[in-house]
This record gives sequence, C-alpha cells and structure tokens, in this order.
Amino acid sequence: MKTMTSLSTPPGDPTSSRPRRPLRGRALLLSLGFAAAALAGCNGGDEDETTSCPSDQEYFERHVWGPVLSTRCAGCHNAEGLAKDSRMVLWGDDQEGYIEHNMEVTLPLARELIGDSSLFLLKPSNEHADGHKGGEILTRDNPEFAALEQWVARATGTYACDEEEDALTCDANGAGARRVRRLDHREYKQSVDDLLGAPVELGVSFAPDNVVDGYTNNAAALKVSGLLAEQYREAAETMADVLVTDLNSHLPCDPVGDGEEACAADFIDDFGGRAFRRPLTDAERSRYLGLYSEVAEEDGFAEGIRWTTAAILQAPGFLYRTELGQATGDGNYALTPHELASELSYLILGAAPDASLRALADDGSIADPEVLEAEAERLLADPRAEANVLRFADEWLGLDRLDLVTRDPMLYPELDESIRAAMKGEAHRFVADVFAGGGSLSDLLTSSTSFMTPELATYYGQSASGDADPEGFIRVERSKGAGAGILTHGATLTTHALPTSSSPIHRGLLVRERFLCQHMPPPPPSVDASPPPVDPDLSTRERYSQHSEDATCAGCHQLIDPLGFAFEGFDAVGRHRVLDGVHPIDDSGEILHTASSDGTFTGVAELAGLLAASEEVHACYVDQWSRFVLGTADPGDLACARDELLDAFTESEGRLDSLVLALVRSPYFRLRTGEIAELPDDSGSGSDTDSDGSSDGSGGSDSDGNASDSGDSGDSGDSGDSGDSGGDEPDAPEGIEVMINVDSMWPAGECDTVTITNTSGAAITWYALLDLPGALVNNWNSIASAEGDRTRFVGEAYNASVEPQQSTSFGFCLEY
Amino acid sequence: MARTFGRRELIRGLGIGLVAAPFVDLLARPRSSRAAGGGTATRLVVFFSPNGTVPAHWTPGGGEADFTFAPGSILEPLEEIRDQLTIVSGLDFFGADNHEGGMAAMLTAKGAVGHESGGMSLDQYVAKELAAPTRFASLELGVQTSAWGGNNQTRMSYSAPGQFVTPDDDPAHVYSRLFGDFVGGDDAAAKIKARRARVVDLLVDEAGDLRRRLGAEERPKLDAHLEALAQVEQGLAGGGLGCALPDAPAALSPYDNSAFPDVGKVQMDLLATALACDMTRVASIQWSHTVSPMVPSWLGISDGHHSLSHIDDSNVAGVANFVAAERWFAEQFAYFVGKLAATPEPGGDGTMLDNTLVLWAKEMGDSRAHVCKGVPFVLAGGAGGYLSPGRHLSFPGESHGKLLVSICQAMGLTNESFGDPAYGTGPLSGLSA
Repeated sequence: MKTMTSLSTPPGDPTSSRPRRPLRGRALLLSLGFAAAALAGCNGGDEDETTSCPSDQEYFERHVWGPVLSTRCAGCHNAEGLAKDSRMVLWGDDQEGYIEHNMEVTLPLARELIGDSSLFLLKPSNEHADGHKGGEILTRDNPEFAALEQWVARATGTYACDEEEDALTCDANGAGARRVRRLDHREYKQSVDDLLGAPVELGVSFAPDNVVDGYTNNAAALKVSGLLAEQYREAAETMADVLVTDLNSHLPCDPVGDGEEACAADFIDDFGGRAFRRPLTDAERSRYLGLYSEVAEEDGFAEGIRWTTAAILQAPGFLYRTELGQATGDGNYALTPHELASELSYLILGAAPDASLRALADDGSIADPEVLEAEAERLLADPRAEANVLRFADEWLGLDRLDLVTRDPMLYPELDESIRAAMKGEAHRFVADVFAGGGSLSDLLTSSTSFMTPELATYYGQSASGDADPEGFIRVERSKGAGAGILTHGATLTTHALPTSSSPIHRGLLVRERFLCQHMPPPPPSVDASPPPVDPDLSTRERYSQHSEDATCAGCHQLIDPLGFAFEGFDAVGRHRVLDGVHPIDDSGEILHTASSDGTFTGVAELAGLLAASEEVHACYVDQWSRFVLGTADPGDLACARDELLDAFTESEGRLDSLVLALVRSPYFRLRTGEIAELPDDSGSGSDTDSDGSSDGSGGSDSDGNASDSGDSGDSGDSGDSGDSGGDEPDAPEGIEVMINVDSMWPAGECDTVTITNTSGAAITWYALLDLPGALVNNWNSIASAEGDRTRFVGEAYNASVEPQQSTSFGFCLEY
Repeated sequence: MARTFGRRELIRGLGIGLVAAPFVDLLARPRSSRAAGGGTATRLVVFFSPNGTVPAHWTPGGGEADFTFAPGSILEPLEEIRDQLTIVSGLDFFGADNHEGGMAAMLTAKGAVGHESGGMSLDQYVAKELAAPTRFASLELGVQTSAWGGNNQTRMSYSAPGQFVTPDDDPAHVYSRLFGDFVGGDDAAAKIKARRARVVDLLVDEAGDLRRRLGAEERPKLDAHLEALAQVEQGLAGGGLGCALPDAPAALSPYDNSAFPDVGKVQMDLLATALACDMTRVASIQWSHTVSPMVPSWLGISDGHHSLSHIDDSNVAGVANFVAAERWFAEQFAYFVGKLAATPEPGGDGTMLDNTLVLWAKEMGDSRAHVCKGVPFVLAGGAGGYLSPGRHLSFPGESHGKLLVSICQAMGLTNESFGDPAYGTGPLSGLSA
C-alpha cells in the first residue's frame, strides 16, 4: 500500500529506524475506549473507502492526542504544569488550533533518535537515561504505545498505511483466536459440583488469579502456577474422597457383576468424558486405566477409582477449555460438536454441558445452527444462567468488593454485615430482573425498580410493602429523587467511597472507566496526591474542588471529579442525603472530553440519563461484556466479534440478552484462527507418538463417541454435485429446490443444513436423494435410508409435506 | 522407571529449565555460580510492607554504629534487635516511580531478558541460583495480598518479566502444603507421595499432548503448567519431615480486615517453622500490597493505609496515624527476626538468624510524593558472616540494584549486576563485613 510522505523525512540516517513489531493484537483503539472511533469497527476508517489512510492530523487527533497525550501527558505537559519547562508543552482543547500546535510540538521529539529509539518513545516509557520526571506512563507492551510508535513512523517517513489497517482490522474473517482457556475459579467450582452431583467443599481456597481490566477470567492471565497446581491437587484429592464415600452412585456399572477392570474402564469413559466435555481419546483412556490398575492391584477397586478420579480432576483436559476446532482447510478451525456444546454452556451458564446438551453433541446435531440457537435460548431461560450475569455485573462495576471495603464503624454503625448482604441482594436482583425481563442498558441505568428487604428499605428511608421473595426481598419502586438505576444502588455507592466519606474520585472513575471505557493514568509522581483531609468547615465537594484546582491535577481531575460530584447526594454507605454534614448538596457536574456524550447535569439521575442515551456508553458496554465473556483484552481479537455484537445491540436498543444470541450466531463463536500447531520437534525423540494421533482425533471424529471405521468412504465424496450419479430418479421431485449449506467442516467430517423449498403452486411431499461425501452419522428433521450410492431423505411426519412457496429444512452430520 | 525418564527428558526438552533444573540435575549441577569460601548466608527472607514511608519519621539519627531511633519514630520498635540490623537508607529505584512502578522495580531493579538477573525478582533469582535440595525452591506467603487478584499492584515476585509469583494468603493452606503429608506419619506420607508422583507422571503426559495441539502463541501456557508440575514434583521429593510437626493453625478468615494481625502472625510462625525444618532456603512474606486499603482498625485508626500514606504534614493527626501503622509493621518485623534469633541453627552453631538475611523492603520512598527516591531498607541477621550488623549506612543517589547484588553475594552468588546494569553494577561498597 501507499507509503505516507506528507511529513517530510527528517535529517539523519534513514536506516536508523528500527523495524516495527507486528501489530496484530496490539491495536490502537478500544483499549482506550475512544468508542466513537471504535464504532467504525473492523474497517477502522471511512466507511466508503476501505483503503483510506487517515491523514496525519486525523491520525494524531484520534490515536495520539485523544487517547494518550490529552489524558496521560497534558496533566503535566501544559503551560502551567510540572513539565512547563520541558520541550513538550501542549495546548488544551480550549485553545484555538490546539491540534496543529500539539502535532508540531511532537514532531521534533519523535524524530530525535537516541540510540535506536525515539525520544518520543523513551520518555513515556521512562527508558530515557535521564529518566522521565513523570515516571513510566506507558509500558512498551501497552497497546497505546503502538500509537506512539506509529506516530514516530509517520514523523520519520517510515510508515506504510497498510500496516495500520492491519492493526485496526479483524484479520481473521470474524473467527476467534485459537486458544485454550483455563477454567476460572468459579467455572471450576461449578464444573466439579456438576460432576459430583452436589455442591462440594473443596477444602482449599485457590490462589486468586491475575485480574485484567477488572475481570478474573482473562484467558491470557489464567495459568497454572506451582502454588495453584498444589491447590488443584488438594482439591482433586478431596473430591475423590467425596466420590468414593458414595462410590456406587457414581459408577455407571457394577464392579461385581461386570468385573472390576471393565467397570473401571466404564467409569473412566463416563466420568472422564463428562469432566473433559468430550469423549476420551484412546491414549487418555489407557493412561487412566493404567493408573487405576497400578493402584487397584495394591489397594483394591475403590482406591483405584479414587486416584483415577483425583488425576482426572487435575488433568489439562478438565482444567482447560479446549475449544480449538478442527482445521477446515481454509486457514480456519471449526469447532466440533462437543466444543460447540462446551463453548455454549460456559458462555451462558459458566458450567459444563448438561446431559441434554451432551446428547446433542454426541449425535452431532448441535452443529445445526437452529439447534444451537434453540439450546442458547433454553440455557438463557435456565435459572443457572443468572449467576453468570451477576458475576459479570460484579466484575464490571467492582461490586465484588462490597464485602471487603472498610467503613469507619463510629461514623457508619448502621452498615453491618446484614445490610451489606442486603445491598448485594438488591443489586443482584435488579440486574437479574433487567436481564431476564429483556431489559436494556438504559433500564439498568435508569430504572427506579428495586428489590429491598424491609431492613434495607428502612436503612435507605424507603417505604417497602408487598410480597417478599424467599430471601425476604420486596419489589420496590424507589421514590422520586431517591435514586434510580444501578449507579445509585447501595452496593455501587458503598464500594466506591472511602472509609470516612464519599469519594467523588472513585465514583467519577467508575463512570469514566467502566461506562466510557476511558482509562485514567495514576497521579504522576512528585505531585501532592494526599487526599483532602476531612474538614467540617467544608463540604466534600469543596474539599475536592480545592484539591484539584492545581493545574497539574486539573488535567485529569476535570475528567473525573465533575462526574463524581453527581453522586454527592449519597453518603459513603449508599444512603440518600440532603446535607453533607451541615453543608447543602451541590451535585451538578459535567461530562467532558467524550466523542459525543459531553453535557452538563444535576444529580446522578441526569448523569445516568445522559449515559443511557450515549452511543459511546453502549459501545463501551459491548466492549466490557466482550472482555468478560470472551476472556480476552486483546483488541485485535475483540475486534473480530465487535461488529456483530454492536449491530445486534443497536438494533435491539441496548437489550442486554441480545448480545448472547448475536455472539452465538457469529463466526467468532464457531470458528477459530491461529497458528497451526507444529509437530514436535522440540519435545524429545519419539515419545508419545500415540498421543499425537489421538489428540488430533479428540474432537470431531469422536462426535458419536466412537472413532473407529471412519475412513474409507471419502472417495465417493469428490463429485460434490449430487445430480448425475446413481440411478435415474432425479435428486428431488419437480418443483422442489434443494439447497445444501455446509455449517461446519473438519478433517474427519462435516455437518450440513439442507433447505427444501417448494417453488410450485401445490403442496409437495418431498424427498431428496443426496450423494453424501461420507458416512451418515446422524440426521434430524428427516428420515434417511440408503439407496445405492445415494441417501434418500424424506421428511418427518411434521415436515414431510411443503406448502406452495414455503420451505423446510433438515440436517445431518457425516464422517468421511 | 523408563517412563519417568522419558517424562523428564520431555520436560527438559521443552525448555522448562528454571525450576525443573534443580530437580533434574540436583547432584550433577556444577556449583560454579556460588562463591567459594565462607561468609555467606544460608537463607533469604523478604519482608514487605506497603505504601512507602515518611522519611522524617523513619530515618535513624546518629552515625553508622551509634545510630539511634527517636522516640515515637517508625523504627523505634526495632530497638530490641538493634544489634542485628543493617539499616540502608538513601537508595533510589532508577527508572521507576509511583506505586505500581515501585512495586515492580523493588525486587527486580527493572531487569529484563538478557540481563544477568533475567528480569526475575531477587527471591526467585536467588532460589534458582541456589538450587537448594529442599522441598520448595522458594515459599511465598502473603497477608491479604490478593483480594484484588493478581496485578501490578498486588505482586512483587517475578519468575520472569511480567510473570507474577502468587503468594499464599491462606494459613490453613500453607500448613497443609508444608505439613499435610506428615500428619499420618512418615510411612503413610511416603506412600501418598509415591501415588502423587505417579499422578504427576500422568499429568505431564497429558499436558504434553495438549501442548502439541497448540500454536506457538498458546504453548507458553502449557509450558507454565509443566513447570508448575515440576514444582509439585519437587515438593514430593525428599524423605521424612526432619523436625517436629507443628500444630495446625486456628481457623482464620484470610481476608477479614480485623484478622490482618492474626493472619500475619500465623504466617510468620509457619514461615519460621518451614525454615527451621529446611523446607526452603528462600522465602517472602508480603503484607498487603501497594495502594493497600487495609485499615489498621486494631490501632484505633479508621482510614485506609493508602490514604494514610499520602497525608501531608499539615494534617498532624493523620501523619501520626500513619506513623503508628508503620510502627506496627516494625513490631511485626521485630517479632519475626526475634523468632529466628531465638531458634538455634539446626545442626549447627549459633542461631538461625546468624545464617539468615532478612530484608524489609518497601516500594517507595516518600509516599506523599509518589517517588521511589530514598527508598528505605532494613536488613536483619548476620547472613553467615557477610554482614556485620549494628550499623546504619546511607548511599544517597545509588541504585538499589547494587543492594540486590550485595544480597546475592551474601547468598554466595557471583552475579555482578542485578536488574538493568545501566543503573549500576557491583555491590554496595562497605556493606559487607
């Protein structure tokens, strides 16, 4: 593509620029949440010209000034700030021509090379020999750093626009990244509870996982450390003990009647298959049977089962979700039926597939998009789906800290454990109610409905009457002025406050970071960051306003505090107040520095109204939800699902559950892309060749639980078009049009949907004679019978006849 | 046996050298990286408490040997172990400031791949280089470090750049991990361990299978898993307990703010016992984390520690509260050091403290300024003769990487730099005896 030349090449050695790193997955936009720009989606540029390259000024404004300089640098680098004597003094957006000026200021810095790196990169990463007074603002692995690198490339004339396009584009045709996801601690707990048929005490609390963007399920961060491996062992042994104390109920067989060894093998297939969310491979089966035999020989059947169970529960097949797919030959990997079932179940329930989902995976029919979607609907309606929704809300809004935040018991004696529990119950019921009722993001932000125990209602000063649910919560319409929406719930307000007072900073940051998706840097070093001391002569707002008057602080705090002031009508423990001490409440404020949501407001209800109407906030919600359910913070990966999700969210006017179905329908859900696993090689000579073979077969070819005799029918499939082979009978009656759609394909098989359309003027009892490129594994909405080289499909009783101009469909899966 | 051999070959082949190496090559390992001769410590313990300090209330008065703790100052509770201390003031973290930067640089000195320390934290580097034949290469104990999960605020130990080592915050789990195998006696323990080792064999095969299905981007996850299994296996090696089995600690709620002192005390006791039983030679105890929200309510203080740490001098009562909280941490340090001083060196002369180096580290200097200049360190113990305690030394403007080099050398290692060598190499002059 074209090389940018609009910035003149700098003096000096043109060869000294270092090679850029590949940009995929380090994208520039959404990490910073300039959502309006992100709304442009995968194309990353003008809609009507996909090859367009932003001008330098556009690029600077959108990627350098907006996300980086204005928020992270301008706080100090301004005419009055700490860095007023530095070579980078930036103008604020209230000064005429600030973009041009700021662009000019950065160019010489970008072109100044020290060693092989630009001053413009060395300073914010604090790698300059003289240091950076502002400390480390960006690490080199921060996606925003890539924007600065691009800017240097533009400034030094070493920039090719197509690279940027790559960075902004989902270059995977919408497929998800091919990766493993270790079960997070909640998924683990739910999965073992389901395996054992009842909630089980693990006997150990697992080492907390690394948190990324507030979420505890980021796949890149979920690894097994030595400590966690020991904890897994401890838990697995505890659960194995539990299992053998009630051994017979967990056996699919009778060790006396069937023989111990045979029964152990059955147990391994059954329990292991459920634990791994797929049938075991031959190599796996023989490994576990080997362990069983060694132990059983010494200590008998039950001990053998006990240690086998303990091993299965520590196995990678259990601990990792391995929805890796099977290569389709076009660079993608399509999920196998068992992988689809697992992906769907963890998406919606945070748990392994239940028996009916497993059955649909075993016979392959889950690969039928209609079946998959019907299952998605079924699981969404399942009461277990609620826990996953609440978990997202907890992590998105930081509500999971409610139990831990400390409040001064002298100031707030009323906030006891039971009130905290009731606050959590209130927020959870509210979120669940909005979600399950088909509610929207706007409802979440503005609905005055709530759920309170009488005790909590009294605490808030709210009247509550009516029928209580089993835990004592009553549906309440909150009185006007007493707050509405999740932002004014006690749980939200209490987690975002200080031990002795409200906190405009914490509450403002909540809005800025979690609803506008703009991340704020920590205060730079060398500034006085002490919180304003409690002073009875001043209101909280006055204390914070004074505190932030300083020009060094104002750069950032103008983005935070005016949002936080909206909440001043609520104290540190979530109660509505009309006075702050003796001071009247001023809860007016302003949203600043957004792409399209700026505006003034008085009180949190008006703020919530502005947020609810904001396109940016909707895009931010989609981003937050994606980070959670996809378990990734990789902007390149997130971009691959974003278009479908944003479209669905927009079309449904922000309906929360619309995202789940949109994701299930998307290619991201079914397809994976990634480097092809290379074979071995580095793993020592020749050991375990058996496992290579079996691991390849661990998915699709097992879709009927049986990997045998699959191979030979492949040749017959080449003809593809089924028309001329076989007998004289046509493939379908006259007036019937047959369309075959391959829904998923992997090396060992495929699943297809066939649409039968009646183009005539009278009802037709249809049939379809197809030359299948493999052995039929199963079919649905149809009855199949072999007929020479072809297979005859006719409808079931309910779809055997098609009305004029109507259609029906059926599906099948094949093994080659 | 052939099977086990194949698996170890596999681990080695995968490049899982760091932790597997001490296990695989225990006997064959050349010890060239350890300095010859005496005068080195047997054990290293890192003790962390958060949120910087107020230098005016921390810095001792007097001179090198006749240093004094002003009444009411932060270090005054160390008076009783004064003769065991080497107080080091004035050091800067180069290339780092602020909470997160300080937390990351404190034990790494901004190291990266290609540097001598490879970007590891001090404890992990020493553990790797020592390669001691103990059940655990290192132990990381925490006191309410993880309520926020793992991130650049809550972690200080790094096994590689960007790779956190997670501390164990739960005393009950620490106990079962250290001593659980021995509760039923040595014979039962040996059988259980053999079974567990057998399961680990199987898991290594399974992890290898999954690893082969992955592309290069994803393989490091399984590499980490295999390394974790190697650590588990190391913990299963060895014979009997070799010391008295301690009682299990009372049940505590690890993240209850008011339980902070109790959890901390149990963790310190468990750690001292683990060291006495020679379960490890390198350990850390991390009290909360930078930006700690811990409220020292047991001192009658109701503000969070982070807020306290940023109070400026105009708020006299607030600063006094912060100093009180810091004095409380000094008492904990004195308790732990005193415990080692009261324990005879197992199988040797003197006390455990004589052969131990305990490092009290913080992540910032003056917390009110968010800077990592003049970061305070307190060393305790004789370090096997490497240190001659009872001194206060000041190294204004020097890189704290040099202190980390000194500590490595106290542990008998020979590295000349720690972290980014651009900030300085060699040990602190005049620190060793």
